[in-house]
Amino acid sequence: MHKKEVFGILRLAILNYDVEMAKKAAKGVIEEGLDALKAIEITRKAMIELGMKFAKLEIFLPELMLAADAMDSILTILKPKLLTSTKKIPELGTVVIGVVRGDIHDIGKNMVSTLLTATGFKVIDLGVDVPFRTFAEALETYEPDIVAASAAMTSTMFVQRDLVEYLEGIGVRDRVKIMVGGAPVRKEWAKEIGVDGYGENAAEAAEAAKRIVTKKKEGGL
Amino acid sequence: MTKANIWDIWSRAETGPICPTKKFEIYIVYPKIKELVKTYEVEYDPETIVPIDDKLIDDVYQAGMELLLEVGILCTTTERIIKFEESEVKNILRALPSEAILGEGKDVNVIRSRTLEDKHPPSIGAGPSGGPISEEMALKIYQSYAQEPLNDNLNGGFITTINGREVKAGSPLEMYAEMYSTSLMREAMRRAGRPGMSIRGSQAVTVRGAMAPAFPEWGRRKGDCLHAWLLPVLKTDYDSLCRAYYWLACGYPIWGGGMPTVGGLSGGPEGTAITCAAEMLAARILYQASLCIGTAAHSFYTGTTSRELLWTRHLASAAINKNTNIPTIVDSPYITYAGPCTEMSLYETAAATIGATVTGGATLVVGSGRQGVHSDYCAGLNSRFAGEIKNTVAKMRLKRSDANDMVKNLLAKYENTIKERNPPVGKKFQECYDVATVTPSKEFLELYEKIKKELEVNGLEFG
Repeated sequence: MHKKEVFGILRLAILNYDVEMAKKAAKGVIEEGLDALKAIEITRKAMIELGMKFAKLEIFLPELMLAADAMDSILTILKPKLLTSTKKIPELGTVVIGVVRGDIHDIGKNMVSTLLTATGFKVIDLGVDVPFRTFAEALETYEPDIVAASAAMTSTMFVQRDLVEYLEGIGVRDRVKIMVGGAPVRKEWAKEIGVDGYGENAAEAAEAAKRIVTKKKEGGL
Repeated sequence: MTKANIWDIWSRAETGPICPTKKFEIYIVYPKIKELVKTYEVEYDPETIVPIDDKLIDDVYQAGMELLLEVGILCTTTERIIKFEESEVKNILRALPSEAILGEGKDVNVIRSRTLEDKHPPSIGAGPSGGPISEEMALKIYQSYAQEPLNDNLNGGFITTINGREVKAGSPLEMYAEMYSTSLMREAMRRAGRPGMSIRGSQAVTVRGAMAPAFPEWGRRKGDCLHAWLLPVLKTDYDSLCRAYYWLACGYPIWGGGMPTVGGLSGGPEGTAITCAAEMLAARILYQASLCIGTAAHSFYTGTTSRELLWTRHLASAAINKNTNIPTIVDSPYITYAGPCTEMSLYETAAATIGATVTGGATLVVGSGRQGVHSDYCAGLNSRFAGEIKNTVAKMRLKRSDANDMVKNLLAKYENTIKERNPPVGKKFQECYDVATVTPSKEFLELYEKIKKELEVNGLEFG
C-alpha cells in the first residue's frame, strides 16, 4: 500500500463498510509511520458522512453497523500507537445508552447508538432491559457526559421517569445529562420528567446529544 | 402431511448452529436480503402502491421463502439458529388450516384465507390496538368498537393508569391492567349484545402480564386470539416461545409475524417486503400461528400509512395471500398519523383498507390515531368506515390497478403532512363522541359522510 493512498483507502473502507479493507488500511498507517490521529479523524469524518446518509435513508442500519465495525477495527489497531503519544483520540463525549428495564425492543436504541458513534461519540451500549443499578454502575465506571434511555412502549416509557428519580435518589443525577427517546416518547414527556435532551428519531437524537455536549463545553449546562 | 411438532422445532434452539446476534443480523441476514433483492430484481415503485405485477408478487414470495430457509430463525436466548428443511416447511404450510375460528356462540367469526381481488370480504378486528387509553374512557372506547356491526373482533388498548398509578412493564400493576382490560372488553361486548366476540392480542409487554387474564373469571376465552411476535428480524427468544407455548397449550389461536422496519435491519422497502413475507412464513412454522400478520414500521415515523409502508406490506401480503393458504392479518391501518375526526385520518384508513382488501388480507386491523402515542385518540367510527370500504371493495371485485389509482389519490391528499411532521391532531374519543350514549358527534358523522361521498365520486360504489 502506497503511503499516499493509505488515508484514501481508510476513508473508502468506512464508506464501503469494509472491515477487512479497514484493517489493512489501519495496518498501513502503522507500517508507513503515518499520523494515527489524522487517520482517526479521517475515519470519523467518513462515519459522519455515512450518518448523514442514514438520516436521509440513503443507506440503512446494517450498513451503518458494518461501518461502525470497520471503525472499531481501525481504532483497535491504532490505539496502541496513540497510547505512546501525548495526543488523545478526539471524541465529542461519552454516552452510556440502554433500553430501560422491562423493554427488549432494541432497534431504535441500536440506530441511536450507531449514529452517535458515527457522530464522534464514544458509546457504551448496555443493551436491553437494563436495570437502574447497571446505568448507575456505568455512570461510575465510564463517567459519561450523557445517559441515554430508550423505551419502545408506553408502559416502559414510564420507567424512564423512574430511572431519572433513581439517579436523583442515589445522588448522581447532577453529574450527567440525560436523554430519552423511543416510539411513544414525545418532547412533552421529556420536559415533564426533567431530562436534558430528546430526539423524535435517531438522527434528531444524535443532533440533540451534540447540542448537549457543545453547550456543556461552552459552560452553558 | 404433518403438522409441526413444536418440540422438534423448538429443541433446535438448543442444538442448532451457534451464532452471536450481531453476526446473524449484519453478516448473515442482511447480505442475504440484499442478494435476494438483486436476484429477484425487486424495486420500490412509488407509483405502484398496490402490486399489479403477478411475477413480482411471486418473486417476493420465493425470496421470502429462500430467506427463511437460508438463514433460519435465531433464538437470541441461546444464540443458536433454528433451521428448517424446505420439505418440512412446505408440509407444515400444507397441513395447517386455511381458516381460523375466533369467538364463541353466535358471535363466532370464521376467518378464511383470501386471495388477490377476492370477492369475499375480509373480516375486521378493531380497537385501540395497543394505543394508549385512559382508565376513565377505556370501557366507553371499547364499547364504541364492540357495537359496530362490521367489526368482528375487539383489539384492546394500553390502559395507562389504574387508580391514577402508571402501569409499568413487569410490575404487578401490568398484570392487573391486563386482567382489568380484558374484563372491560367483555363488559363492552355484553353492552353491545355480542358477548362471544373474540379479543385479539394483549397489551402487556411481559409474558406474565399477557398470561394474567387466562384465569377464566377475568374473561379470556378459547375463542380469543393471542399474539406471538418475532423479534426483528427473523429472531425469537425463550420469552416469545414461552408465550407461544402457553397460547397453544391453552387452545387459543395465535396471530404472529414480524414488524420489520424500513431503514432498519431489513434495509429499504424492497428488503423489508421480502423480510415481512419471510416472517409471516416463520410465524406459521415456528409458532403454528393461525393468523399471520403482514405489517412493517418505519425508522423515522410511527404511523403506518406512508407510501413506503403501504407499498411494502401490500406487496408482502399479496405474496403470501397468492401463494399460500395462510389467513393473514393486514394492517389497515394499525396507526394513523392524524387523530380521529379529521379528513386525513379517514383518508389514511381508506388508503390502507382498499389496499389490504384487494391484496387478499383475510382480516384487517384498525387501530389508533395520532401515531398511537397519545391517550384516547381512537374511536369506533373509524372501524365502521373501514368495514364499509372493505365490503364495497370486495363486492365490486375492485381490480388492483383501479385500487392503486384510488390509493394514490388518497395519498396525495395527506402524505405531505407526514413529511412536514404536522398531521392534524384531531379529537380525543371524548371530544368526538357523546360519552354518555357512546355515539359519534354530529361533526364526526358529517365528516364521515362527506369522505364517503368523496370516495363514491372516486369510484367506490357504496350501498
